[in-house]
Amino acid sequence: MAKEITLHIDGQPVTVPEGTKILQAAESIGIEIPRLCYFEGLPASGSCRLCLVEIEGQSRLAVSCTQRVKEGMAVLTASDRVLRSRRFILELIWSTHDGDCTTCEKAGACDLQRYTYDLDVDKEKYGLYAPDEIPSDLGDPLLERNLRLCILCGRCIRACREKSQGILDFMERGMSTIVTTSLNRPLAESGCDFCGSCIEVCPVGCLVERDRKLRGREWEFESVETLCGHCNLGCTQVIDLAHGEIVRTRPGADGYLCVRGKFGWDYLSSDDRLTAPLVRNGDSLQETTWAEALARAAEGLAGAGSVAGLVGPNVTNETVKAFGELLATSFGSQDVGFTGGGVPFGALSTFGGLKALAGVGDVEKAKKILAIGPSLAEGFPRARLAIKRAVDAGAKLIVVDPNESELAAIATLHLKPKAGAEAALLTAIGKALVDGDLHNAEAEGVAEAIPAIRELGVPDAGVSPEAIAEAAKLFAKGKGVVVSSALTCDVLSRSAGLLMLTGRKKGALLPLHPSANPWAGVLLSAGASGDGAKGIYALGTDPVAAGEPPNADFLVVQDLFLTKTAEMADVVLPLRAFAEEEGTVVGAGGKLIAVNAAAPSDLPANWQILADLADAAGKPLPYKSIRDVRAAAKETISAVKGSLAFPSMNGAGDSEELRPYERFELPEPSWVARSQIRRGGSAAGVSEAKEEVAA
Amino acid sequence: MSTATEVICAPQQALEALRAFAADGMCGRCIPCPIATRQSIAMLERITSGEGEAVDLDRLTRVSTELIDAARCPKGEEAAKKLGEALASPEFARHVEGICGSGACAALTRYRVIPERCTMCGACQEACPRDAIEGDPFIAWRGDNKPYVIRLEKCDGCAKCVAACPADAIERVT
Repeated sequence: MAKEITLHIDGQPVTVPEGTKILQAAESIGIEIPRLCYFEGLPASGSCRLCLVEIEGQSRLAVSCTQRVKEGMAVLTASDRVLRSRRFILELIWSTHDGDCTTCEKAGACDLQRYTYDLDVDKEKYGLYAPDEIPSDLGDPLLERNLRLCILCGRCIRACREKSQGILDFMERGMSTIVTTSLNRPLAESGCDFCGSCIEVCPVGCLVERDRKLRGREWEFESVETLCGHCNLGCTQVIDLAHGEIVRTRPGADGYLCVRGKFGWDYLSSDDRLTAPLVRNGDSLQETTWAEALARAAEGLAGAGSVAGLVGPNVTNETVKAFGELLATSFGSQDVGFTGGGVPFGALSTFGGLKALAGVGDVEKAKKILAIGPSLAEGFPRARLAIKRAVDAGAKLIVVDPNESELAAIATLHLKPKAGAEAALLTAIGKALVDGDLHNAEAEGVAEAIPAIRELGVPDAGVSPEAIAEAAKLFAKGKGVVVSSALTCDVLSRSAGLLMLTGRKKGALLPLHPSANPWAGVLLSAGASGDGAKGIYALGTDPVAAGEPPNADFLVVQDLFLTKTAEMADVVLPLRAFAEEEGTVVGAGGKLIAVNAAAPSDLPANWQILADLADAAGKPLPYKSIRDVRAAAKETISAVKGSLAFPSMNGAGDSEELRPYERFELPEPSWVARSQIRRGGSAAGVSEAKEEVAA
Repeated sequence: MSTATEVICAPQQALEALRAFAADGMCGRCIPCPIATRQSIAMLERITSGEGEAVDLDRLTRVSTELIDAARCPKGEEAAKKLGEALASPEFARHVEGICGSGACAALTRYRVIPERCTMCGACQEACPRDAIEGDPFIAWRGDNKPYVIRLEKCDGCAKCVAACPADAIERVT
């Protein structure tokens, strides 16, 4: 345990661990020291000079974001001298900052504006900014860079370096310094992956999302936190609404969203969304009432004789559960398939179940990482970030990818298997583990497996035996995880095998999937074929686009858009998108996570539509509220996998707790606390989650 | 800027020091330093060209005292201190009043023709780029000779007349 240091800040005693910076020590007793360049979570640069404080007995002012506390120190954070210096700096900034707050998107959430108000700064002391040759928009897609507003704090530079590609820097020097890309090229030509991390840290209005422009003021925003639905890594996402419309999304507690999470929300408010049910009338689909559509669907499916269901991985557990129940209760069918490239759950069933799944936190803490699959970094930037952070912290990285890639460049070992030979390579590594006696002989199930593995021939994966032996040696010991964007059953089961051999059974395997809830298949009795079914109900899945057109006499499709499958359907029902639904998902790490209805929707909840359809079929579902569906879903998951973990928020072991969202602390900037955060305001789900926790 | 006599006044000295700092010593990575320097240079340029105001002196003084605290590195601190030393000179206040006094700031320097020395040759009038000198060459038999005078409102203090005068008959008045 670190040594404790006691000091006085503005006369108040405070005790903090050795090594704490003055700024944090002050924060711990509720004293906020103004800062423009410092940002929680980024390395401090000490360049804005706004956080200067006076230390008794020292002639120079001290930079509180970089200076560590010392025993007996007496710090003054708001002495006359300190305030004079702060005002001076702010006066100077105003002479280079286009100060028209009336049209600036950041007004109300701008640190410069706030400090100017707090310190009653004379903005015109050094003259008002006169527009010069500096461009007000560099013309990048998705985000606007207005260098007339840039105050050169350098936060975006550090955010880009820490979280993304590191393409921003101070360019030129002295009085001509600007923040931009190398050679001032457009972002799109500089290797930017548009994660928007720079926007999140900008203290002023220099960097803003294009989509939010002129859509509402910062103080009008209503914010709801939920889970990003663009992949299964479960990044938290805050959706900001102004006047009932989405204007922006931004990262939640995790502090990072990739381009899809940050900018990929336009589909929610697309004009192409289905807003009303459609029924087939000859060759065309015609809009109709819910009552008629549900009656047609119920009648058609009931009359088809045999019914099969297909459900995709981008809906909540509750939707999947209600869907399975609808098929079983109302149409007497157990034939429900989980489609859309769902993760082959069977690959894991012999190996710890959902508990074996890792989340990004496990990857960041890992000492050994085996990263499998092409386009892992590009397809899953959050996984790339986790791997990079682990490598920066000293983890050894083995990359299995036929191509050169960003991760291969930082890998300890890069194995290039022949196309499609990833699984063979993993088998070879497993065999090398056993042959070299590097496996964990005590681990469960290993002793029985060893003889068979010794007998195995080494499959040809196009990788040299030396490299394979080295990989086995590297991966053998320490906290290790396998991250894979290759989702074939073979690769996943071999990965699970490797982890079993090395005795890693918890939080060890992270299959990357481009949908929100790829494990929801555990809610359904496995093995739907759909073969021979005369009536098919496809929810949130497009088998035609996947090359498997359903062959049915009567087809019901429920989806966001009029998909290729929907075009063939007899009845088309609209679907609420993931961000519009409250419920739970089986997130990365096998955790059951509550999600909020963050985006507005005029549609009934998905489970409600299914319940109404059951009513129309004359065989109602046993649910009265979303709470009933959730309870049923939870019960099924627990029953299917006894080992399923419901981790508590602090991650301390297993408990039967849900992870309710409202307990997340939002990070800086501080204005977030001022905007009305409707965390679960509409979301009855969250209050229910609370009740469940209490019960 | 400096005249034929190569003198330099206190504001010009401060200006040159800051320009040298901006061109060479400054990195531009802290927020206050580059802005303060740019602003100070602009103010000193105004002061040495006769457009300075009293408020500029307050602002410069503020830079010279506050930048010592606000700058991170000794270079910035030193620049502020040099500025402060220069500001101690009463010349700054006089510049704002419109007088350079040393001849270093052309805009704040004015000349006159000394009638006792003038030979009325007309060289000054020919040399003047701004047509600020009135008068006619001396013609012995005429009774209404117009002596040479410098119209101060037209003069910009370039001192070309001083260099052109063969009789050393033009002197600085401010």
